[in-house]
Amino acid sequence: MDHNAQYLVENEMGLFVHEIREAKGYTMEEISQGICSLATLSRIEAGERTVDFIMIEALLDRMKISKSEYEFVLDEEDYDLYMKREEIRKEIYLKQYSQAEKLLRLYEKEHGEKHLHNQFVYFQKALLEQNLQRMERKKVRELFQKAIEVTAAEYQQTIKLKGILSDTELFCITGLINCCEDSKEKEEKQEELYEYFSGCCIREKLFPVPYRSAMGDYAECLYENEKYELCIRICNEVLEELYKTSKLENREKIFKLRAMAREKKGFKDETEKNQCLRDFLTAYYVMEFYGEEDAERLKQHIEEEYGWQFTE
Amino acid sequence: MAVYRIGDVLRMKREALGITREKLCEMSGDICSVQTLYRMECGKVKVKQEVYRKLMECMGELPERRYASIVVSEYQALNLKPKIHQYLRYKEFEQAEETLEQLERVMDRNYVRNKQYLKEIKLYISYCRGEISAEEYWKDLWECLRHTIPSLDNIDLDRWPYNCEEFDILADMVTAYCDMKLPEKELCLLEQLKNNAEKKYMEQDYYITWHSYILGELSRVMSTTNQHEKSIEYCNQGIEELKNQRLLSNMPCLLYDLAWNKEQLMKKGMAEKKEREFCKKLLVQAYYLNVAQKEVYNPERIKKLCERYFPGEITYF
Repeated sequence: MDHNAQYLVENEMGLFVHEIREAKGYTMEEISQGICSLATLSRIEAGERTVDFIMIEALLDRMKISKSEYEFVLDEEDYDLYMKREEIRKEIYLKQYSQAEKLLRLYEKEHGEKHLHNQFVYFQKALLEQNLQRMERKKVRELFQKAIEVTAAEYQQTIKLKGILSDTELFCITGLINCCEDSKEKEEKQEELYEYFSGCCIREKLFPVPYRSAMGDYAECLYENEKYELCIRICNEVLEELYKTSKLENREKIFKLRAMAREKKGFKDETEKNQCLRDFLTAYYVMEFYGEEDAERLKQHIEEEYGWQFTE
Repeated sequence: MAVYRIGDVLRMKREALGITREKLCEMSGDICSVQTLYRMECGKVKVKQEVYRKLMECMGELPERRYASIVVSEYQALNLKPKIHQYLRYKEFEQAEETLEQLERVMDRNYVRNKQYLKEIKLYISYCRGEISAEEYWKDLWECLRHTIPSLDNIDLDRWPYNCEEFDILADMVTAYCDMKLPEKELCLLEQLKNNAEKKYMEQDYYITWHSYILGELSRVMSTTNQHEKSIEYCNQGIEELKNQRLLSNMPCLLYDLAWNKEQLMKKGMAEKKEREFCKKLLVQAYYLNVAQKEVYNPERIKKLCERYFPGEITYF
């Protein structure tokens, strides 16, 4: 487990932001844009102003510093708010949508009007709706758009991806792309995102989480558009990143996609067929173990297409 | 990751040192009243920065301990650490050493947390290569831990709020005890670590990963002393916790241990035969969940057990 620790209290965090910014060579304009004014940032960095942790998170996020690499000591209020946000993120990750919705509503009522909190609320709402699929796509898109506009007011889907984007902003972009109705347009945008990631992320291992999620979607889109070769390649890249985390994330989906793409591509020999079967079986056992609904269907497919007998 | 509540940090440190609030206030030259300290520990009042610093200093917190193990200007090093861990996971020691050298070039080696980190990794590698004995390994690890916890000999291990690097060293110490064939000491340390973890002062995913690791180790100790029921209990707890949080971690190990212990009970006629099918399933699951993690654990171990109990019944890919 790799962690680099730092104890930070209150305005000591400002100094921390300052040092990181200098070390990484970002300008104050670049990191403060949409988050706070230049004057505020310089007061924060000078340690003259105490800051909410959510702002520190946003600033670090811009600089691609994952907060998991440091230790923070927070006061009661900040800690409680942070834990509330974590709980909501967690419930969504665990697919406990009704619980997440309840908590989110409470959070919105108490803190939703302040701008970074507002972004958090819009973003989580959008994620929820995307997963629940009970709302029109257009409405979900609006939620993602509202979320991203909190810190990147100028963002429009037509603008080329450039500059430094935070994880939250990248997740919003992924969400927006997923709302695309046209599969060709979707693929083009995902490709653009892939290139953005390849330019700065793979090289420096900068944003693994949005990368894994967005590229999983890209692979899915490639499969739908029958580009199997490329789909397999993207799956391989995503899996290499996933192997570094002990979180499940979208791992079973990637194994399944890779198998499906391999199957469509056709097998040259027995080895290729076995590789495919191994992927299918891995996807199946993970899905079955963690209680995914689709497991049964996958099982049937493996039995029918490969004559596989599940002995246990 | 770690995001701590300031009151918890104060309280846990004080308790680990076994000093009363009265004593701590006295040591700090009455920087705050006992009543205020109590209120700070419960989060009922805001903690002033200078008060926090003074109190931590009185409790032996090194000033450097507050800063990153890799100071900010060495942020390039952040990318090297995960790489080293990746190499170590697959026992690729030469690559790990090469990356470690790179890391040493970019980080300040006099800085206490860096020193601790470098020492831990080097010890781990030389121990894996058989260059030092388990006894030496244990002793060096203890010294290594003392880098960041100078009062180590006087603290209550159950209560000290460790950071992630310190946890890594403690986990290595469990291994050393195991290889020294000192099951009582090993068990004692594991139980202390379990109690410590269950105070839940670390981030949840980290807690679950660390806790399930401890449960896995406890299950291993229990199974070597033939306490299979107890071992099964630990495995089940670990599996449940990981599953609920959608984590993989040491899941294959826990599933393997669970199957192994159930087999032992069956052999003794202490478990029903219908458990046999269940065991088979556990092993297949262990095998594929391991594939899903690029086989961090040796798959041959799982296959071997299957061949022993279910010869010819399972085909692997």
